[in-house]
Amino acid sequence: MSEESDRAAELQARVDGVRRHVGGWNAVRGGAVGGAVAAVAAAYGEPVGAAVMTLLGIALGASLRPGPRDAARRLDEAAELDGQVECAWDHLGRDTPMVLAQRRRALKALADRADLRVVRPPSPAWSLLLLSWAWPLLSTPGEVSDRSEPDHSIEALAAARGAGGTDRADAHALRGAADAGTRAVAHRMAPDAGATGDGGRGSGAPTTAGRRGGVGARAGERAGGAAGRAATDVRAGAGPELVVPRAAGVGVASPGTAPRPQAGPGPIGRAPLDDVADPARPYPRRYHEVVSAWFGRDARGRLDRVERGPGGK
Amino acid sequence: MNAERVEERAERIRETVLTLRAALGRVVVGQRDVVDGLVCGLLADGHVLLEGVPGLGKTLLVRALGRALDLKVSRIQFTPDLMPADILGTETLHETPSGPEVTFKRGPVFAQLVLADEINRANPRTQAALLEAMAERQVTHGNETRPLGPPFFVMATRNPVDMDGTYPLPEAQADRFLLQLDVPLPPREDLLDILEVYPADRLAEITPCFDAPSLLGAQAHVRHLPAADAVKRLVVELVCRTRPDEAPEALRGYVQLGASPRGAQALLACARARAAMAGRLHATIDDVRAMAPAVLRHRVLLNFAARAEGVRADDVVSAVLAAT
Repeated sequence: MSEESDRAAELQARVDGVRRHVGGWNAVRGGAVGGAVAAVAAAYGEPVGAAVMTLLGIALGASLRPGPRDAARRLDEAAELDGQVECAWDHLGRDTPMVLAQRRRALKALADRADLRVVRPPSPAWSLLLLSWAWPLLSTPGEVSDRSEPDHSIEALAAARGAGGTDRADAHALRGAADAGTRAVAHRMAPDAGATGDGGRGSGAPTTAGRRGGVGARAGERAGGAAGRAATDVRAGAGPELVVPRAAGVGVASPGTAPRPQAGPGPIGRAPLDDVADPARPYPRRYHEVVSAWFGRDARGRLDRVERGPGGK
Repeated sequence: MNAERVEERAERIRETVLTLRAALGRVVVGQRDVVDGLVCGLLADGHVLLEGVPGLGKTLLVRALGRALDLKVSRIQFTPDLMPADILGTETLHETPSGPEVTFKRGPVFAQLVLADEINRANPRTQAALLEAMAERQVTHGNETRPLGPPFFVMATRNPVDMDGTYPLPEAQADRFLLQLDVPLPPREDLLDILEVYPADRLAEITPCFDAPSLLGAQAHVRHLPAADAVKRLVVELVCRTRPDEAPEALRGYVQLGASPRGAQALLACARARAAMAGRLHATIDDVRAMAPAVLRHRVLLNFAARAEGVRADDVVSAVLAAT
């Protein structure tokens, strides 16, 4: 009789094993779905909701494991036993000779199939959900402008032309965007520093500007400085009083995070706004975008300030 | 009995069935499904009604079965003037040394395998004589009840075409048949083989392969075969879907009466018997589906509209199977 008890226990263990296995994969599926929903929540600045959704998905998936009879049926289908295991499971509580013989035969048939694949893993399509979960995390750093320096200069030129400036002013504006504007911003933000945070270009800017001399150069410097600031401000989405605490060769660190090293020379304003430590803008970017849009303090408003520069009417 | 002996018995039953099938197949060429149905009814301890046009070998098949089984076989040719006493028996007055004495002369129903040939040619009163015998396996005559068997089988034949001078089987009696097997016309290739067969010779060659004790043991084995709950639920579902209010939508208006609880029991018994014939120790859903037409077709009573439009009980059962 103990042998028969062992068989009943073996059947129970097999069925429970299938249930656990299926429950585990369902937890993965649930986690993927919950994570995808959580990604949306995270994008809207709801980290707690995101975490709750993920955990909820995993818990729900794990709870969706099959019942014992369904698990027995899965065993039957996988081993092509035509209902033997399910029948044995249904009669687990009985011990007539016929039932015992049937149970023994079912277990033997299961044991004969060594390479039994009872539970199919989730299809690769589920990885898309997992990727959608990770997408906001991967996409945030590169979301801010990755435009090159000439783009900024052209933008400044377009600003000057839009304000009705002359060719001379255009030239000044271009030069200002190229170097004097950078220097002006550097001086305004960190007057003590010998160079801007952009590296080599910034370090040479004062000398170059000093050799130019003359009214035109100063006017260009003023215009370029204004346009450069405008370009910086446009990209940064900040007001005229924005203070960028950058120093030469030092990356800007977010509050509470480790400083990120700058890979090489780059223009002012290349850093993501979220990385800018600004006590006046302590909320997430989305918040400031909404507020700016609400009060009309968008890019057009800052271009208006360019109009008031030396090249404007 | 332990589990090892159950396995041995299952294997023995499977081998015996193979032998029986081969023996019947030598006499009746083709008709494999009919032979299987007949053996299934035997193992499930039920009566079988064979329906088919004349000349298909129905009677020959039952005679061959009688020879293959080492049982007491009797034959009743049903005719319009057959009386109940001709089947059950009657009391006769005998002169004995001690004086006149009334004794009961047993009729042909007192056998283990009864061939009721052309059962629908007898009038309902005579047909009704078999009701108690088929359902309760006993005969009550006067104040005395006499048991039949075991085993006790009625294998009846019926001709569906020649309806002159016939009486339809009462529903109560039709329900007592475990299976109704439709005997089809043989295909061309079987017909060629039939030309080479001399039934009398083949019948003489049959040797018994099932005696009464082994047959009773096989029936007990079949009765105890386990069936999963899903199988039982399917049986219930199929039987319930033959009822007028639950029949498939398209045929609902044609069904007058559906299968009875006895039909549900018969369906599960036949599924078990089919499993035993294959040497299995459990009945499956496939067994139920395979046996459903033969078990349910004579239990579904259609109304006049169905007869007028040519809808058959098999159509209803097929629709039920397709919908379940």
